[in-house]
Amino acid sequence: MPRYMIERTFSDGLRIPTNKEGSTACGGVIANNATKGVTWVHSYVTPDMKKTFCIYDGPSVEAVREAARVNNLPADKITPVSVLDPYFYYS
Amino acid sequence: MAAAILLEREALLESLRRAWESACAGEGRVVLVCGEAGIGKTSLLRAFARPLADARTWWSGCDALETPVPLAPIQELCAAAALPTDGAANLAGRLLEALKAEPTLMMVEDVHWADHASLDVLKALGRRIERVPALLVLSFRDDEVGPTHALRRVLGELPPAATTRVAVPPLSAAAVDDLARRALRSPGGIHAITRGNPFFVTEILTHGSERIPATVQDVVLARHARLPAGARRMVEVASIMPARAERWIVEPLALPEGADVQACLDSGLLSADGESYAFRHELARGAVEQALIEPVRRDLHARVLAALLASGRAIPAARLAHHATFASDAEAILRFAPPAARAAAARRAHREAARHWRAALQHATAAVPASTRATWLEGFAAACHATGALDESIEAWRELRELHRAHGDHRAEGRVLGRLALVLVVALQNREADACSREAIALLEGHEDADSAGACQVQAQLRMLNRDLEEAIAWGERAIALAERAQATDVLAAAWGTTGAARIFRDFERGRSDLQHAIDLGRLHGYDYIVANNLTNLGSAAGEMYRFDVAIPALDEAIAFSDEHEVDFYRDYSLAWRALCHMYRGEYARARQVAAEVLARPGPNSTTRVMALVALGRCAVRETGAGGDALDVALMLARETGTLQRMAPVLAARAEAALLGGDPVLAREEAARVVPLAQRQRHRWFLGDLALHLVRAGGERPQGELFEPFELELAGEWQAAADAWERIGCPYERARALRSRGQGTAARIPQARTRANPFGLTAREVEVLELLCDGLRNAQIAERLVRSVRTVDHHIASILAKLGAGTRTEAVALARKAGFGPQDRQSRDVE
Repeated sequence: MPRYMIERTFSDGLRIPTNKEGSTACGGVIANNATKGVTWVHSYVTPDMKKTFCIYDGPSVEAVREAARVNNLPADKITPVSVLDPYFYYS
Repeated sequence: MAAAILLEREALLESLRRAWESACAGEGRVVLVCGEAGIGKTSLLRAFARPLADARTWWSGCDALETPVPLAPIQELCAAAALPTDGAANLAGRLLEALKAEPTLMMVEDVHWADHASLDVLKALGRRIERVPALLVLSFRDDEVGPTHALRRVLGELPPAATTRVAVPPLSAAAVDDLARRALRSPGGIHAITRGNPFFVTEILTHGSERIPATVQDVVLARHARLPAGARRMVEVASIMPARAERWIVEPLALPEGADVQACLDSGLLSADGESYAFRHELARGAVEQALIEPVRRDLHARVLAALLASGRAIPAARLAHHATFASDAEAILRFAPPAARAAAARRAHREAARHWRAALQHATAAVPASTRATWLEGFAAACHATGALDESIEAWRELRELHRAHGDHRAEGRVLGRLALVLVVALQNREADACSREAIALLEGHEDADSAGACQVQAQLRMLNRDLEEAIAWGERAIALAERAQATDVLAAAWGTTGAARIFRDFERGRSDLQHAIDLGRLHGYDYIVANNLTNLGSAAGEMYRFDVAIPALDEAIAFSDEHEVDFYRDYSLAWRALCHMYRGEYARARQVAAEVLARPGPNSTTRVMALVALGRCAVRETGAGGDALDVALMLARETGTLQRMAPVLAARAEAALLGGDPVLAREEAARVVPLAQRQRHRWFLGDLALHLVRAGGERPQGELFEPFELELAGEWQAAADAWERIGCPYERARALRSRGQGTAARIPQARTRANPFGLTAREVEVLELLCDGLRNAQIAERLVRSVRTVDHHIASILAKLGAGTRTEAVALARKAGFGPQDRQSRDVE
């Protein structure tokens, strides 16, 4: 399954409280993704919480875009990527 | 808009589900889904339709074109129904036939943008929806539908029992907070900015820029601004194409580079739908389009137009005209507006036709030959007439007349004057209509063709409406002869109708047969208007002559036919007359109900309103003694026409009201106003009604033959009069005749009583008091005066108050002391 990186900008900042509320919200995002066949692998977040780089697995760019739309998450740029692990080359 | 979750819409979905259940059970329904832009109407409909995926569902919608492509949404429905989409004939009927097969869900979105012809079809569908197992859902922006919006006509005609209105409200603060949380944001502040508008909320959540936007347009534009140049151009090109933005237009014009298309789609502004791009929401498209500066917008429209033309594909003329207009390309407008107008007129989208004609006329340069301009003017005038924009139509006909006059084309001038006269009649400007018609006939003298037949027909019609019966018959016969020679069947049918409508007052049976001839011709050639017109003429003429045996069946047939064939004007006029018939038969409740139904419909003031108001007012007079506002408004409207047909019923009712209200001076005034006209037209029926009240109010009996029962009443032959009224079926008139028993030819002047009446009682109250003194109980009094018991109670309460009495016995005692009582009644009669 192809992998994608999504760059997102949050003007007010991302907010996921570290409690039941937060885990419910994440669960919602994951459930909506699943309806499009898309999986949220993990994300990198800037310290001010205003920019994220999210790694997703999904069948196509359209599916990933749709999943973002259904979740009301901004998707500034979606780039297909593949993993490059430096340790892979070390023998 | 988040597809998975739909907050705070459960009650609305429930309304839709219940309507669907009813439809499945065989009784169709209409649901009106309304709300501001971006409130989530489409999302609601999608959420509703999703679990019903197995049901037959037809989707269609309307586009925000300046002049929409006529019948576009209806053709979408027909395509979904696998019906042939050619031809404009009876689309509603064909759809209804197809709907009988199985329960069907029909969604038509954004009907505030629908063209005139589509609105007519939707109206016809909605009115008959109960007969088929179908749910028709219409969505629209109710904040864009003002009192004069064309959609109002449709909404006012839907059967109330079968129609539900679902207003989609904004989201509450709690719901907005919830949405924010689910999108991993802190909730604060979003509800305040967005006021709960769901589209605005999702735009803010997904736009991802730094500054907080103040309006939804700001959000969209901020997102647009962040796109790379090629993507921005794509969005801009797409923004000027409301219906759809085909890829083969957008891409060559915008010239996007590699990643631009992706960036465009990523931003969420556009989505790709096979061959075209579409905006996620019309609000977004509107925001981008309005932000374009004028020269850029014009240029884009010009280039899109060029691309459409160069493609060699078949593009609807309305779409080409749309771009030509916004490109301010006069030459293109002159090229495309006329065919667009003709296409619209052919589909009976009259409002759109008028717009296109107006555009063509506005841009007509000196290079356009006068004959072409004349054709366009005529199209414009006819389209305005058809949409009820009568003032504009009249102005256009006048301009056209000038054009022909300047060219010395008398024949064309005469023809135009004939058409102008017809519009003036509808606009209640009968005097001007008469002048035009006479001029037309003079100009067409010697030409024996369809046009001069038409002019004679108009003259006959005007004479008939004014009850100049002999002249009407003469003109009508002339029109018939000319029309037969010219083989103009439509004029012929109309002429038979007009002649019959006049003749019936002199020779009932022959007139009736003339009218029937017109109706038959109309049915034969499919002239629905003529059939409806003459059924109505038969009903109203017979009604005027108190021949309810003929009037009522004719009116009922007129109502049914007009309803079935969407001839709204005659349906309403016949209903108004039906209300009058109910009134004359003493069926007051029914009369009021039917009159109220007619008055509740939207539409310009017209002859219909006068008759309905007279029905309402005269019921009130006969039940309570006062006609109220209805008769005042009716008089105002009737005066505008100046015709006997309107003035006489209004003034007779007012005279009756004045007489019963104890103001004989006023009664004489009201009746006298129109007596000369009634005498001149030798209208025995109107004259009788007026004369009776005039004489009873102490006036002199006017010259002229009166309808027999009125003669009998005035002659004091109360029993014969009562019998005559009973045969005709008028209980009030009959009771009135019986009440005059024992008074011979004596005129009852209520004023005499009031003069000797120290308590300030009205004439009605005096009557009640006298009967009280006679020892009658309330129910007996009610029967004697042909009133309801409730009205009598009301009068008695007023009497007690005025006499300062606590009980009826006290009141009777006080009255006797003041000189009331049986022995006094005779002495107060005046010879």
